[in-house]
Amino acid sequence: MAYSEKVIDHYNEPRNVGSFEKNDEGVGTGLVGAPECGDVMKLQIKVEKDQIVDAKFKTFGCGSAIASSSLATEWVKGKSIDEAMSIQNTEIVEELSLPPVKIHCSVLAEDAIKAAISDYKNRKNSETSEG
Amino acid sequence: MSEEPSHSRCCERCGTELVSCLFCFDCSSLQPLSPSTNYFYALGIPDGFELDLTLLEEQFRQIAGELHPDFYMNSSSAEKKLSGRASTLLNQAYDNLKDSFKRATYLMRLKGKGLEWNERVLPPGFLEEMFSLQEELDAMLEKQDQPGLKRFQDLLDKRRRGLESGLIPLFRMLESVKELEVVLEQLQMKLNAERYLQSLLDRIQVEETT
Amino acid sequence: MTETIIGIDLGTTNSLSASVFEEGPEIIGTAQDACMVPSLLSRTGNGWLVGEEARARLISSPTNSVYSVKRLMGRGLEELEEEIRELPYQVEAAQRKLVKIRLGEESFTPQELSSVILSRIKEKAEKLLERTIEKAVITVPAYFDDAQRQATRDAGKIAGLDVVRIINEPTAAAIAYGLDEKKQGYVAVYDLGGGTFDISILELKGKLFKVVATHGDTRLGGDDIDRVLVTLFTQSLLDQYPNLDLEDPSSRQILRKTAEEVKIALSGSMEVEYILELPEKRIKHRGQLKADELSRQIEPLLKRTFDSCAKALSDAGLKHGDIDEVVLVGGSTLVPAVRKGVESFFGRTPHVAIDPYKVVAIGAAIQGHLLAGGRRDFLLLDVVPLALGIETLGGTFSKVITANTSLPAEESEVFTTHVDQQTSIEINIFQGERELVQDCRSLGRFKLRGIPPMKAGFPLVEVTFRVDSNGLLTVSAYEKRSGTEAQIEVIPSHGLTQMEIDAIMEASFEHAVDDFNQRQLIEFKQTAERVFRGIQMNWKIAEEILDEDQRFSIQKQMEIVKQKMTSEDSQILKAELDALGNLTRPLADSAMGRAVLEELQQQNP
Repeated sequence: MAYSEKVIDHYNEPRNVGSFEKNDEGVGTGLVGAPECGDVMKLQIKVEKDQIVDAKFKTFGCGSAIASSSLATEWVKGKSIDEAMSIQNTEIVEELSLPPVKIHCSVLAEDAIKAAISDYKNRKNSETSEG
Repeated sequence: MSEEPSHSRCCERCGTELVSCLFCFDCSSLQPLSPSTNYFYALGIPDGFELDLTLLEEQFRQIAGELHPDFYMNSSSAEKKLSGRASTLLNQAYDNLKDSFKRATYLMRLKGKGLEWNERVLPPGFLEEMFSLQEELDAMLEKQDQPGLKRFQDLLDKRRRGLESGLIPLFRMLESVKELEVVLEQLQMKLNAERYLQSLLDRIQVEETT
Repeated sequence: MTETIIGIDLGTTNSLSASVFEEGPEIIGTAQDACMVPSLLSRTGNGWLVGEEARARLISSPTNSVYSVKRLMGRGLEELEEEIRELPYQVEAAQRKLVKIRLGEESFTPQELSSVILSRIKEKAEKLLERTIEKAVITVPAYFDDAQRQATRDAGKIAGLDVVRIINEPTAAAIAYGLDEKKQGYVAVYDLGGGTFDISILELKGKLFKVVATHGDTRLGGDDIDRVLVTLFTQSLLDQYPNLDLEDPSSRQILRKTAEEVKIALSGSMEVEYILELPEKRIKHRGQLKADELSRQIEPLLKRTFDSCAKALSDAGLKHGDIDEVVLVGGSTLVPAVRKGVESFFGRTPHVAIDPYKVVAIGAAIQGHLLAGGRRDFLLLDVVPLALGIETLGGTFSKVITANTSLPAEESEVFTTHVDQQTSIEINIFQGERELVQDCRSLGRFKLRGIPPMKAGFPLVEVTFRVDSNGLLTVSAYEKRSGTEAQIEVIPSHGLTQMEIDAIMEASFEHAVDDFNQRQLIEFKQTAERVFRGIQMNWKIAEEILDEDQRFSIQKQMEIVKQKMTSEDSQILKAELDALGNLTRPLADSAMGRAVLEELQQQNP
């Protein structure tokens, strides 16, 4: 599937929409927003042994922000948290001419993943320091 | 960075001091455009956040009624072009000053030139609240809960107006304090919050029209 | 003296033209000979019959005849499915997203067909005003999008007219009304034309006319009322003749024509008796229809118009009571049920001082007069009717200029890439109010090429939309980091390229000859018939005064003329007709002499 088709597919049928219980073990939650448009995105990861085993999101706002969160959750699954931290869009594209994206949409998903990972790490650290 | 005094230019043709930098009403001539035209001066009104909307409207009508390209159809191509560009600018100035949040954004850009502040600042806990409001709205839209939506909309409108009136004291403060960045960040926070409220309101409106 | 820029109301059913005279703005011509052409066309040989002359052929030659072309302007086949099913002529897909109308062996774009009507208007105006006309202001429904406006402009161009401005029909009506009455305040213009419905709310303050809100339905109009009537007639026919097939073009035309007549008749009376005559089926069916029945049947249609009115009011932030005047435009507003509905919706009696048929053309002429430099005492501040923007990745529509922005307008927004090393960006231009581009109208596309490879999110692509005071849109793209600028090649998705327009214009020069030939042919045929009648009436005299050879040559020549009447070349017919004229001159002289003598005798008994 061409990359642009894949994105449209993720818009029409976003994958991984939903949420985990915030306080469950291994869950990291990232909540980010884009004041340019008033978009708000919640992205959660579930981590087992430093591997992201599942991801869920909910985004209110621009269509392309929704598509990119859907793509990001697909991408992040199965990655180690270190790999996910260095998220980069190195997709091989068949066709190099694509419509553009709004600037804030292009970073929202990335910010959300980073926020979720850092939330996960914070919770883990506080657990270890408490216990 | 030295700034050109925003409200004092004279007509290129007859030398009269201009009310609007776009047009001389004394000798009915289009004025050359400067690259950084002040919107307030374009409309010939005193600059500042608190403005007289009736005056804005009147000035716009007066100036638009002279500048418009329709009156320059048979003029030289240079004049034709100038009237088109000046009219575009006048429309932009009017659109940006008429709405208080756009006006605030414009003024902050003017006053904060060369300064830096956190442009993504939000009140503490605000994003969490917006997220849960969005979810609440989702549920109401799904149930087609019309009275609920109406209440929700009224509430958002009220908060928006609250933010709007909160801008006035901050702009007054901007005139008197040294630490401009602190005030600018406070202003920015209100403008950012407004956009989140607006995106909620937009969803209700889209629902109404479809 | 300022040059003349005429105003043209290019309507779905009728087109007419007005101009500003010393006494004020008025339809060009006189009541008996007005610059008005029914928007009907029929193809004959290589020429066109236009307006009234084409009307009979809608029934006699439905597959070669066209009406309601306006409904097809600037639209694609996929949007027209419903319309096409109703139309007796054939509409087919052409290159890009264009449609063409097939008439016999040839096919034409809606632009070309509209241009034929515009040419006729231009010719007629030139004859009546006794001067050449080069420029015009043409009106379109407020809800026409950019592609539909462009199509109208192109039609003008093909007809040899410089369309100096496209203005909205309701706006034109408001100009005509506002300047006539010197009124101020909020005016609602309710325009129910042949094929479209528009509601516009204008603010008249000082010398400025400003459109504050506009709404409408491009698929709702008087034709829909006709359709309701056609359904009623069909039902009534089927009740009596259960196995009747009414799907053939000729029956459909007859039903449609009767519907139009009944609708007009019902404007003046409470009940109308109608006759449906289908000669091919040997049916003559009588029926009656009460105005109340029509009102009941069109109620759902009217409700749709009032939903639009409510939206326009809410967009303008106004209440029903804030409207100072309601102006009616369009022939369908003559239907009493429509008037009653409008009155109860707005809570005030609509203004009807200016003929709703003429008001739009008159408003356009006033605007033309202003553009020609004839007056400076008012100004129409036009707005962008529907938001303009581009497609962003994922098929979403990103607005750059919002609806109701005053013209001329310019807005920019900065975008970026979503994929690393992307060297080319697709700028797809759309117009609409929906969130997905698939629900908006595509206006054109171009590529910004040659961006140096960068990480995703790094390029800064500034996209600028400019709409000038004519409503013409230009879009440019500029990558700020590399300084790459777009090679703008806007290909209108539903429009004609300059090359296509040029080709049509070239062909239409040839057609102009054909059209002239066609009209002469009709004229000469009529002359021939007159001459034949004259010869027959005077044959007794011929036997008296002409010798056998002379009579034989006349009869022989009459046969030749009859033969040439079926040919398509007017000049050959003319030559043979002239020859006949020469042969019959002795007869004509003496017949005339005799006629003169007889007349003298009658006067002096």
